[in-house]
Amino acid sequence: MRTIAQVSPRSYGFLVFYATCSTALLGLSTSLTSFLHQDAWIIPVVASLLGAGVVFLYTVLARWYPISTIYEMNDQIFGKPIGTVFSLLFLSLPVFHFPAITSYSVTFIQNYTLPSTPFIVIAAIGIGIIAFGIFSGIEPIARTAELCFVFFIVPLLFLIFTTSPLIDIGFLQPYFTSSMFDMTEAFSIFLGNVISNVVIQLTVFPKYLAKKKAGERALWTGYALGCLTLTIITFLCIAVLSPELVAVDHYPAFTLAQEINAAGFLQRVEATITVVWFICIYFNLVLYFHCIIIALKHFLKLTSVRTLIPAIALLLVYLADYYFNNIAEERSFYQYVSVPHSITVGTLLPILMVTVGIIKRKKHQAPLYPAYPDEATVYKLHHSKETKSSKQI
Amino acid sequence: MLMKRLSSGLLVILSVLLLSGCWDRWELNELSIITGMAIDKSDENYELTMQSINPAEIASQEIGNGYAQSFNTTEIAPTIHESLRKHVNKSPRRAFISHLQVLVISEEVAREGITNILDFFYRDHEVRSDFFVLVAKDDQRAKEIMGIVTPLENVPSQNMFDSLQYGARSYGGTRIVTLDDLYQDATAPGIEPSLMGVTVVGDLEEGQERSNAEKNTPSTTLLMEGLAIFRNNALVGWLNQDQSKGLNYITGDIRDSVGSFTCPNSQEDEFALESFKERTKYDVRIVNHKPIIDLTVDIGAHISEVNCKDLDLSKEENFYLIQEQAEQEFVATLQETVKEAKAHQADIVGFGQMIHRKHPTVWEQLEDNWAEEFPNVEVTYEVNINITDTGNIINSFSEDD
Repeated sequence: MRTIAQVSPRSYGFLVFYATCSTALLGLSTSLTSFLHQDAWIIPVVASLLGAGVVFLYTVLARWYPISTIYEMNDQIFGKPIGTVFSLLFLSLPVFHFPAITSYSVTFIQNYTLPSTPFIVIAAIGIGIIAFGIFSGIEPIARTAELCFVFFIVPLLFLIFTTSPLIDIGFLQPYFTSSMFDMTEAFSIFLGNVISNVVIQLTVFPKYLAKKKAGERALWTGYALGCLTLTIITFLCIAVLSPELVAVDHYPAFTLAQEINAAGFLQRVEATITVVWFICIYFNLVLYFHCIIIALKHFLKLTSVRTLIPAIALLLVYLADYYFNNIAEERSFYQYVSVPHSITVGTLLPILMVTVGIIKRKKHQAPLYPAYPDEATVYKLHHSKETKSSKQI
Repeated sequence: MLMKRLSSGLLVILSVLLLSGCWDRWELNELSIITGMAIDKSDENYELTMQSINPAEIASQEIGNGYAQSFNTTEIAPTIHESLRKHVNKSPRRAFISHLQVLVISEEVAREGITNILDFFYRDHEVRSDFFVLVAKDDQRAKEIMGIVTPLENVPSQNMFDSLQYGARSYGGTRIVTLDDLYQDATAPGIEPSLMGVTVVGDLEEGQERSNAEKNTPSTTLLMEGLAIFRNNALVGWLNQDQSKGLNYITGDIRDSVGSFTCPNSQEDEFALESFKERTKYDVRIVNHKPIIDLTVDIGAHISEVNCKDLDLSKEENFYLIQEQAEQEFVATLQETVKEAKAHQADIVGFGQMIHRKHPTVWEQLEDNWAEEFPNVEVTYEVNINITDTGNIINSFSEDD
């Protein structure tokens, strides 16, 4: 009998891919371009490479505690009381960002397709589907991610291939003229909005993956594909639309889709291309919801949280509706709250966890980069978890 | 079992609620499709003329009533969006502008600056950025341009759109400027926008009659000519057709064109070249802290018409003679264009942008008073015309081979 959901590594890779793209696929180039103008495309290239260091921290944590979520890791590293404090800090990430991202995407839908539909209706329908996903469990979610791949990759490739002939290299010149200060600021945006977001994967990986080793590879693949997509889209936005236009556009990738004109007849297809953003925002939000649900399970020591899902979903709908008063408030949230908050939770917290973990492990002379246990061991560990986990470092 | 029935029943109700249709839908027969807009000044307000098409008259499968194919309304309001929504006061349908094709700005409005009227078009979600922006020339009211019944394409906005689009592919005297291009030119450092001019030739009264399109030689037509040039996003002057072509060559926005040149052996006669392969390159050198711009235009051409006497085109050296002559005259056209731009201190060519892209540090010093610096920039021209073909015949009939 299986006691725990088992996500296949391949499905998980897609999940990571979508969640890494998330809303950044739609709006990242604006915030980068407003700091760096024509140089903005460098940031995704450099930052994804540097961000690999952060993702490496996650894999180290996963190797140390192959059957835990981040909440349990916190307890095991810092001990119960301090661990709870850090777990609550981690929980604040999905709680703060779920309404914000919902609000952003609903505004997008309102802006382009349903201008006079009330916010709360779109949000309720959207969150309803998300709650349904959570209700089905993480395993069906991951399978759906795998199935959605066709609907994601075909429009995405279509967008890339039909707009790439429009590239004007002149828009990228002069190269590398931005000041170091602006570079750092843009880098912090990428670190906050994209890389640090990957930390939510620690509520799925490694606990819900049967094949830990393959799961780690899927995490890397998903992260790499996500960053590659972001790089390509940012590059295309700047080289096709010009840095001046991207810097003021709320949804530059959508404007890019409006440029599609294949052979004079295949045009005005941007409404079809939007499925790309729907898919990646959906899976990102599902993972945030999952984080919240897992946290409730952990803190309240519940065996099943299913009954709580509709209640939480309702709360989130209203939270999303009342989260921002206007778009200016939303922008300052992303600039002054979201970025520092995400970096704290997604980068600084893992650094702290790994540092403390290393000290503890040195003391106990445990290996610093252990191999994953094989499937049989994992199975045994899951079943004797209650007794063993407290003794684990 | 009961639970299962109950939940499937709920699902049916939910489907009825969610799948019944779009919340804010506008059916096609509730929309008035605006294809052209014209902006004039009326005291302190903007006067917006909207041209919507009459689908029943345009559709080829239907036999119309013989009414006009388009329907113009004019509204006055302090903002463009308000005028647009006021359209419904005079029309039975709501204005829908996703299919906008041309926006004509009157010269008076353009002289005051175009940035505040363009804001709406960037901001509104319904607007797509693929329509062309034009300026009404010769103090013609933009509203009147929309009123002309044009032959072939009876809707003037469609007429202008096609004229611009195909003109850019066959003659090169027109310049296609979409909203995106305009935004780039208006906001990027070191470049100013330039917009195509449009005017009415012939009698204005007669042009508004349907009989105008019924004649073989219509008394009134629209004319796409001249290029409005801007400084600080306000209109300051006009380029003529040759200079517009010159600008298109410099910025590399030309695809196919024809030019006439004087014969190398006699001043009175001309020959024509059809260019088919144009490539423009630029380089910026810094000499004594001053930028010098080197423009290189490579053109591949055919000889498409020869009126020269005693010019034997079967001899290779005569080809070089013609090439050289054409190159010289071509450089003069380019010089004219740049001279005119410099005279208005309007950097429509984008020399500032070239300097910015190649030498960003030099640009930083020039940026602040670029309008004054721009006329002093030195430009060198190099034109390479490569004539490959002479059409179906080698020599003219005047020659005896």
